[in-house]
Amino acid sequence: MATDAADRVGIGWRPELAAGILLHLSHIDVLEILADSFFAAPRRAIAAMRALGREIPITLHGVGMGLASTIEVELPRVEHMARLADVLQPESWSEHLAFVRAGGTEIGHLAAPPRSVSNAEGAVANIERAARVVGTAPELENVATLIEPPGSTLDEPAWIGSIVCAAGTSLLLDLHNLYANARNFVRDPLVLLAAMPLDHVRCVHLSGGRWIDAPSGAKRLLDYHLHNPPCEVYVLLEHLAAKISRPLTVILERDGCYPPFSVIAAELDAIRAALAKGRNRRVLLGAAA
Amino acid sequence: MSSPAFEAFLARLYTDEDLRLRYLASPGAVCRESKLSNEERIALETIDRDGLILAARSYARKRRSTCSLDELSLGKRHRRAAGRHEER
Amino acid sequence: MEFFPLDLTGPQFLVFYPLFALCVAAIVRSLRPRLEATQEGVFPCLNDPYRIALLRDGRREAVRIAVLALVERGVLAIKPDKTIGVADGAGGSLENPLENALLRFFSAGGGPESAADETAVKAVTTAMQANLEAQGLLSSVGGRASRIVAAVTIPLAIALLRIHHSGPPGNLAPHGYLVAEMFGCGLLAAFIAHRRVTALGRATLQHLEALLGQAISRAREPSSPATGNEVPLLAATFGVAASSGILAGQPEWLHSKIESIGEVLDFLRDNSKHHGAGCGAAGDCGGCGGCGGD
Repeated sequence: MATDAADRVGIGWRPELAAGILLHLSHIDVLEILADSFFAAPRRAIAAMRALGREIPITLHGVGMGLASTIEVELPRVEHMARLADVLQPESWSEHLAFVRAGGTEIGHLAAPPRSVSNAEGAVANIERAARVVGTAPELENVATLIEPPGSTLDEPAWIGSIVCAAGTSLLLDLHNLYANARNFVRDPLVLLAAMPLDHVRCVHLSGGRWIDAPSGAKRLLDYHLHNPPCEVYVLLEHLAAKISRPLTVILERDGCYPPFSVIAAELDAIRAALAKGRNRRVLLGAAA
Repeated sequence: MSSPAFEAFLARLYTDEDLRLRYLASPGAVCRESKLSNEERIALETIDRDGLILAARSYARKRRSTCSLDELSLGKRHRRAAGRHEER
Repeated sequence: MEFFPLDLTGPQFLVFYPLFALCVAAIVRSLRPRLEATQEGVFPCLNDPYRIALLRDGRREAVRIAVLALVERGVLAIKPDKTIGVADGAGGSLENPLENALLRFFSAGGGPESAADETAVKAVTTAMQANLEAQGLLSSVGGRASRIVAAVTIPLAIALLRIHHSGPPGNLAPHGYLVAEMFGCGLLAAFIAHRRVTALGRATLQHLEALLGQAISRAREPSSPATGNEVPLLAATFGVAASSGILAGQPEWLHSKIESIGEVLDFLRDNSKHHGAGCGAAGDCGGCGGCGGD
């Protein structure tokens, strides 16, 4: 099987998976650290993570900035990220294209903002502010949403594309988020994937979810992070690997219901297999052209 | 369209159950009370109702979970600083 | 007022001397981390539970953890009479040298109390120790000797100078007390200055404790049985006796796995004179759920 030698497969660092991760370090190419968990961590915890970061590449993943907003991002939050990045020396950092607070109200989670020109402009301004403080621009992740964002005048790919192009950043493409949005709002996942600014994709997230019942009796897919990625998401990964030439870093996300690490390791192998399959298809398509 | 006021209203709609129930019962009336533009009010009156209820539930569960984004992102010391930042 | 120790009266010097000796030992002990090549932040790739156990608490602890791992994997079994034997159906040879040596030892009917001293087992643990010394995690014999010599000879020299300075003794008693203090303080200084684990080794153990501990307890749904070396890794890092202390926050399957081998932990604790040290504090590495909904 042909593979792109520079493709990497990693996992989100979770304390519950620590033993398994340490025992399988040779099987993992990169660790993604939830930055917000370390902002108030004791010095010894940060020192330990810094030491681990010298054994394996790490990236920082923020959840609390709320960059996709017409409201200016709070400077202390960005400074926290900057300080942590200075200590841990990650190879990159990322955040979400979401808003998490407004008008003094904390939503408590990542909410999809109105996908509009004014919001995109606000997001770009926030990204540039954050990049100046941290020193590098973040990779930006698409979020799953249970609600069609009210006040939207752009579709999701156009909105995301306008932001990453204007800010000159990379897209962290969460394939389960994309899949959930496609299924929730009656779109073809492959068509949605093809419409995304794929030339900006460097990193990919994979996770799982579950179907929940809506009041009207319909079902919606919740990006839950407590399950293995469904096979449809692996199909999307294959298609992505077939479409783009640059190396991909694929991170498996899991936030709970942790199985034995042998199950996680099998998922990492499945990711590698999907990447290889996609790369092979790319080679074959290139040869046929 | 998007503005700080619109986002603030959405944040309240997602987190304030009383407001949400009043809104679902009478979207027009709640929108008229808010200081939003006509365009924003029209957008809200055609909101995805299923999505609003599910999203609000999801956000509430997340807020109740062990760590809130605010606590993690800032910790107590810096939340005070952030509060001062918002007042400016 | 100038202070010159050798001008102190006999009783005054007898008070001064042990304090001086202890200070020298403390300085030698604290100076060592600065002199060692600590390679700040380097985390030697230690995912071998047996080497971690040896680093933390010596050869016997490494053997205990290996026995625990073999029992947990079903290679060894605890018999009703509390002896350890090869489990039914287990046999052959194992890839890990320590495991293999222990399997041969218990196959021959050896008792757990003498496992660590068995020739083949001792040879493997000695080689592991040498490897840790080469990695700079354990002090070499030469390194320890040089520190002890420094901690002992400086006060010894001062004491001998004092004896020489005081001239021919008209009364032997003060020198006798001083000689007794020399021996006592020498032993104490050697004990204080002696450190088996280097600063890098201690940092490595602290990093492991921080990474593997869990500060926030969470409920998890039960899942399929555990495989692999996770239980021995946790036991090696925190000590066999303390392993149950780090259950909080671990996945439910790991929780039940550690509880299911509670008998092994008790047995090994009862049969070993060398209890696991280091009830590591719960680590503090992260603890928040990520960006998934709900």
